[in-house]
Amino acid sequence: MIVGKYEFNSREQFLDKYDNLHTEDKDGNKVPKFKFAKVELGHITLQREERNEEGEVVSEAVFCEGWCVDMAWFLEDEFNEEGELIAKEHPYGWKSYSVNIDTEGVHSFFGVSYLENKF
Amino acid sequence: MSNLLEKASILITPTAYSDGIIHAVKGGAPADLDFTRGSAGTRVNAQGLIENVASGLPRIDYTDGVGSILLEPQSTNLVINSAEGFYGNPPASSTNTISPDGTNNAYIPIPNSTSDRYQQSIPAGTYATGQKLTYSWYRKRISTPTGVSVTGDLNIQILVNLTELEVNNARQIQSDINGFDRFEAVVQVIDGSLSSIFRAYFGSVIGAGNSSVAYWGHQFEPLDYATSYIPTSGTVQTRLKETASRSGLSDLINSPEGVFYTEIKMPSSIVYNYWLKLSDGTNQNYIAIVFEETGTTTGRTTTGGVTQSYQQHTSDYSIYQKIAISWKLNEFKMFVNGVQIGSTDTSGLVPSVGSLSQLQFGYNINNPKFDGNVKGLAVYPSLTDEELTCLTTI
Repeated sequence: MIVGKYEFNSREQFLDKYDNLHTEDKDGNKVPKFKFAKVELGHITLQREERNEEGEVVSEAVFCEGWCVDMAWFLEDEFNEEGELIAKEHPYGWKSYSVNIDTEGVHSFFGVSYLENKF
Repeated sequence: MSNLLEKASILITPTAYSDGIIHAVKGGAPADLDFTRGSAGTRVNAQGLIENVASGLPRIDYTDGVGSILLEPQSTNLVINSAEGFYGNPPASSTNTISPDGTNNAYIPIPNSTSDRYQQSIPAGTYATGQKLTYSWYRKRISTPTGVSVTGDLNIQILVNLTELEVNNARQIQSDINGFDRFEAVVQVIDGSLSSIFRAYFGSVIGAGNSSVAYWGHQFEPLDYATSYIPTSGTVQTRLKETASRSGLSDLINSPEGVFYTEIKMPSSIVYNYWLKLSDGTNQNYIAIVFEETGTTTGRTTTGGVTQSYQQHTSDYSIYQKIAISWKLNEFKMFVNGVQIGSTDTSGLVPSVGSLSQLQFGYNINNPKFDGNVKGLAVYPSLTDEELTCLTTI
């Protein structure tokens, strides 16, 4: 499993990319082209609201302007003609919106380290 | 009747499992279910304690004291420190006590203000209007409260842009997990374009000199009901969905005649139709037990894409029930808890010889969804009415 963190300009943009990960069967059901899971984090909190001793807000919370999404990609191993493992890549159109951070971030898949399982 | 289990061609019970497999008791290795869960999860173990289960391992859950296979959808715990909870107005102090996971990480808060509370904020635009979210928590009374108490000793009130589906809708959902009871409260987003705040007040129930109550395992998840505990420590955590299925079973399923049986419990409030299905790998030919979001359990037979039999029963499927459906040319029956439901359906075609080859939890093999506790699952070549009654009697 590979974990990818992404920041899209809007939820609509994310949904468009997400739709492209599917095909449709003859019943009209969306069928994933491969296995993955999504967690829409939305406009994540970058800085929490601060209050003084009287409970008054001294600084408002700051939220990310982009639409943040964590993805779990279950990608099959692929090998080149020499039998070497090909490095895994973001699905087409996703790399531009990927975020590479050096912490686990604000969200994790339970028991799965982002730092140990990122692209 | 003692040889009923011997008659099964496939029998799955909550016993043997290994990484990625729920082993069949009957049917041999070909009947083992392929299991997936990409993340860790938790269960109540045989000692009654909540413990982590590594990714890929099925969960045999003992919440009710007896083991069952637990299958759940994906869910996310938005509380970033689940053992202690996230405070809006923090209590003056707190002490620790042994929690449902057996460690000293449950909290006994000592509030000094009626404003002291747990709180979760949701930024504007995160969830759509009408989205339901469920807050759940574990509680143990160290001493009996002397004041007016509320369910779970947390008062859900002064919500912002959230509405409780019912007044005082908190309710108990589990009992005595290492001395703790579990509660849930469901709220709904009023306007998705606005920010929301969930608040749960200690109120007058606890406090120094009054009584003491321990809390643990706070979970706020964007679902209509609470799922199993997802521990967090500093970050939001997601448990990925579980799937179980097996193909290549045509030698173990008698397609033109048979019995499909399960002993199962579903969540009290489900938002999808959850399917248990024997099929040919398509949605054109199948035998299915379906738990509908309307609260109805149905037995269905479809051949060539045309419904041949549809029998239904309304019951509280949040408690365990034993269900069997039998199919045969022009003879379809449904038994629940030892009683035949309605009359025998005397017209309908059945799948052709060798066609049924797949067992799956979920309707669509490409995107299966299921949520329930399974104590037993079996396929029989055929059974008499007397045997069906015996098999399904609680």
